[in-house]
Amino acid sequence: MKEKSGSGLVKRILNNPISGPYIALIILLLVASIISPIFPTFKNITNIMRQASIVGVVSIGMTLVLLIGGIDLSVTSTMAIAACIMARMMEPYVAAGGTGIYIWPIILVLIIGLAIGLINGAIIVCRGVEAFIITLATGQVMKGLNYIYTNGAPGGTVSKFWSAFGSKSLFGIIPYAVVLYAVLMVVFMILLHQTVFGRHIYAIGSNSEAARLSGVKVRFHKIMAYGLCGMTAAIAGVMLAARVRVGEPNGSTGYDMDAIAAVVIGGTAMSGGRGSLICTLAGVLIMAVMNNILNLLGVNPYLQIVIKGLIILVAVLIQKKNK
Amino acid sequence: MSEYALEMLDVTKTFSKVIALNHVDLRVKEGEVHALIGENGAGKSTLMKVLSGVYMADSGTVRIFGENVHFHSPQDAIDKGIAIIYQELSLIPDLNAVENLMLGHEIHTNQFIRKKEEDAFAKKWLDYVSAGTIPDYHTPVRNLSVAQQQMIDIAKAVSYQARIIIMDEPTDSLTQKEIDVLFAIVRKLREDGITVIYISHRLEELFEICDRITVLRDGAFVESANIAEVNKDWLISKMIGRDLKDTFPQRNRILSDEVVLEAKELTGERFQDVSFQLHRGEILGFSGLVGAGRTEVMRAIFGADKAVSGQVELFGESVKITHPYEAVKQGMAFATEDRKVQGLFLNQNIKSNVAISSLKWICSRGFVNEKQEIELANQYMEDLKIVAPDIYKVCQYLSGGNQQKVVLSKWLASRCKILILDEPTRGIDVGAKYEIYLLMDQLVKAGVSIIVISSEMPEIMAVSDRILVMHEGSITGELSHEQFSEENIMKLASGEKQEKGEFINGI
Repeated sequence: MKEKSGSGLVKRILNNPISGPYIALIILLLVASIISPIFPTFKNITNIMRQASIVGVVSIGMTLVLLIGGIDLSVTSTMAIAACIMARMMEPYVAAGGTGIYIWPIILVLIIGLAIGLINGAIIVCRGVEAFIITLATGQVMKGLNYIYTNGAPGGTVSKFWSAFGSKSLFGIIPYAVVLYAVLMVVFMILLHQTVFGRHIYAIGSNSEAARLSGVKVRFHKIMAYGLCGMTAAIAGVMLAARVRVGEPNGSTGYDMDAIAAVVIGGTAMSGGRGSLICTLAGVLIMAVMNNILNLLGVNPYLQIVIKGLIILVAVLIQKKNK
Repeated sequence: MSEYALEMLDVTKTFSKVIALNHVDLRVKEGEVHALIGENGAGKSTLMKVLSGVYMADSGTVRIFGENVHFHSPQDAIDKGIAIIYQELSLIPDLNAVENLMLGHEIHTNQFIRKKEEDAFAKKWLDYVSAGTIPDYHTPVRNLSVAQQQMIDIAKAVSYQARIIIMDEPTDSLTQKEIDVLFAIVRKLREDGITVIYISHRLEELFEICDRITVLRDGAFVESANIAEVNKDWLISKMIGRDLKDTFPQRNRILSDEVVLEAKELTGERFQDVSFQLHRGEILGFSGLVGAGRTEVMRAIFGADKAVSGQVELFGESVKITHPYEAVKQGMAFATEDRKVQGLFLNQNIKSNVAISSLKWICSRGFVNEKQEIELANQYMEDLKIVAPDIYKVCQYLSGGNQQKVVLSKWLASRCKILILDEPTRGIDVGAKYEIYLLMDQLVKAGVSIIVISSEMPEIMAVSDRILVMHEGSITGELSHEQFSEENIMKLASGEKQEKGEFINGI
């Protein structure tokens, strides 16, 4: 197995499941650079990364949930609730002249996100119902509650710290949102690949009965995966509010599907057990670059939707064939 | 300390009024290999699930090395040194050997896994069990053979100081060579003082590996004995509660000249140049080691897989079958090896399963005639002695033998002329096996031609008119009835080519 010859190395790279999505990404970058002179500029690249970071954070939790063989369709509602509560709670603070980080609303929405996820997980695991329909339902409930809370209108504001977080860059180079995404990626990659928790997540997704018989706490880990997914969705909600500087109950539309698409394009199996965050990153970047290049080329926005759908379709079909 | 490593006394377990275990006793001495046998549904698996903490008994005592224990979860049993090697392997396909071995017992500091120490620890136990037969401990176990995965499972059990290891049908999907390796491992465990409880349907192998034996029937204890003091007939009579004259029905073997199926130089991904003829009313056996390509050839003939080259003739006409639908239309039927995955609609009832391939006989203008469907199902239930309350019983709740009978009913109802049976009696108890053999005999008498794939040599020699043996994708020889012997089959199965016209002396 440990060939060191040139052809062996190429073979190993091609056989590695990480390679597929990254080869696609590289090809996409090359094509984009050729057809649009604006694409490879520094400003445009940071712009892509900034846009990618929010979907990216959602996709971290989504990867966890897909790895255990589940799915979470309630993330957009969680994001919206997090954004609205944060912006509304921050309004009096900003009105009183506050400009700092004002951490309490952030902690609160993170706890809310975690709690929503844990509730999702608990219902799915303890009642043995399909994750798809449960999260669809809880997502609806929360969406409605959020409309009642906000009256369906954007409201609240964010402090100067958070608006800077949404628009400025570290050393003027890397957007803060991207920094946060990178930090979360590192944390969750360590969690998945270096800890007992992570190994048990893979084990459960691959064969949950076998994992149970080996003494793995299957229910606990499944519920925790949903909990963490809820929490990353709440973090994404905070990032969204920081970016648009207001709590917008409809602002998170589409993030659930984008995140699921990114995870699947990255090669994580919907059935669980196979995939990784590093692959999901490639999926996130592919989606973001596609969006960007279509905009740069001025493609009809309706046509863009068609093209994006087709890309997901092709990506999944290619993966299926490779198996 | 007690003489017994394990005592299960007066254990009773019921599932909603059904008594699965009725005051069962099991006593196993320390360091012995103890066989636990009984027909399907006799309660072996339930008893072992009670022992391994999966089920909790309603009443009764379990003692491990003289100490009374009560298990509430699999982990409790593991902690007391009881490990179970399940029939369907309990490894995680996407994790590698080391990760699987450590699962549930990871070496970690504050939840962070110490990979190097895990590698060293796992290697010690994997080497102990596999003795170097597993090439790579870091490839996902899905890439390994069943035998290799089983070794990892055993290594896992030994690694956490299991003192009692339960093996549930461990040889079911192993080749003879792999079985020999497994037995060597079992003997090594016994030498090291580990107690093994061994469950198997293959009675022959019990005499090779076991010290003592306990028989269960209908959820009750029948008898325990030293294996040296009993024989196979005794085992069978205790298992089924009556004397069975012979394990196999006697058959008249008359070979018709009419060829119904002919394969000509068929080549596929995992087999080459396969040519053979199937005669009308014949049972043609396909023998060989697991993985020799027998199933693949049949799948290609049936149109389930693509053949690269070669020809198939049905009833004297050259046909090109590219989809199972066409095969069924031509009068072929294929009862697959893995009936749960490929042969049955587990969550549907007997009636629907029986009728699924013969809807064209019982429908008019696209509407299924329910009355005829019910008649059909009732008829086969009676003919094949399917044990179930009625035809509306959902198939997943039937025993293995009855499920297999439903699969056969389905193909019989389709009025097939050529029936391919892939390991038709795998995981089925002695009584049901006998009925399936009888059924095959009735079918050929009615003019149906049967191809049977089986890894059990006594079975294939008893039921076949001719036997073709395959090795690594090629047919290595053909044995006529007079040439049947385990020795001849093994020679061909291990790749020794039969010279043209050579008569291998056997019998």
